[in-house]
Amino acid sequence: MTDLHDNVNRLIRALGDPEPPQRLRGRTLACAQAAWARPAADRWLALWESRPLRLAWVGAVIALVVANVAVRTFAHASRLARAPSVASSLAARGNELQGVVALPRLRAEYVAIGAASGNATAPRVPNSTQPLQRSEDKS
Amino acid sequence: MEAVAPLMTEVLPGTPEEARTGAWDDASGWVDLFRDLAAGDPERLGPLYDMASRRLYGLALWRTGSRELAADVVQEVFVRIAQCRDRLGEVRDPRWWLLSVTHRLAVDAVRRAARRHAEPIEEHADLAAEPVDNGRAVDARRAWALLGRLSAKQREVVYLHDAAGMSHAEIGRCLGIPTFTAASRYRLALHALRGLLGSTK
Repeated sequence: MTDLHDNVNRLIRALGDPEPPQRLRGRTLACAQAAWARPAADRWLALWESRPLRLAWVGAVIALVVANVAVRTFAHASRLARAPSVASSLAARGNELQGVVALPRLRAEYVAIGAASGNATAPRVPNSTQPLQRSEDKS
Repeated sequence: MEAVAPLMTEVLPGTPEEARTGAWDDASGWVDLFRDLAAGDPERLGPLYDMASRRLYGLALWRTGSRELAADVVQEVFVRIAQCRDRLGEVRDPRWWLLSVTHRLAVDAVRRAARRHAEPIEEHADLAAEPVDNGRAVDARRAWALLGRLSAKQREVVYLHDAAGMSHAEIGRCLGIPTFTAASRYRLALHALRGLLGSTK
């Protein structure tokens, strides 16, 4: 293990700092001088060339898109969630409405014979032995 | 299998020992240089290149694995220096500033190159070798081949620690990562190198 450690250290030590290419100095200094001669980069260019700012911009756009999608989705979901509550509130008032709108059922003894099978007949005459039930409507 | 050359004890040109004791460690010289550049003296770019190019090129080469990309990175660093010359006077430690800029530009260069085409570092197995003598050249070639199997991040940390002689805290400061992360990355890199070396023996 110690030999392995020594070997690794020796191999790394053998590398050191590599010598840059000879022509790199002239090329680099020429480019640097050219950049020096240009006016200093304006703020917008600096913004554009700054990687963190570019990342921040991309992040902001992504956050906006996500927020937009989320708001739309949640708004739709909440609308769906609200719909049953409206129905239930209507149902609470449904008895009152039903009482107003629903027609009273015909009394069984007044239903024509054969009406259930579709054969219309004359109305059934009440039994003469029984007194007629008077309507509650006094008018 | 190639034999491991005997340990080199003498200090050779291009070794970390020379880099550590060279102009790179003269902190006051760097501050003066940056102050002159901030004052608008473009003639100081030449001395700056002479002081910094070797270290910056080394870092870029270890990070990118390509001589061509490393040269582009060094050139881009000096273009950046010229572009933001007005702010150079505010730089507290120019050496870390230069290494940080080089690191970021090298990362960008690797990313751009990866988009264009994938080029494995093994193709440049002999790039970083300094053929001072045969034994050292063999070591360097072999080391570079092994380093090529590490990730770029691990290679970079190994370079900064072993070739540039930086502490883990300094590496973290340079790369913008916690000291613990730098130390952990270095330890994992050495562990991987030992594994590779053991498997190639």
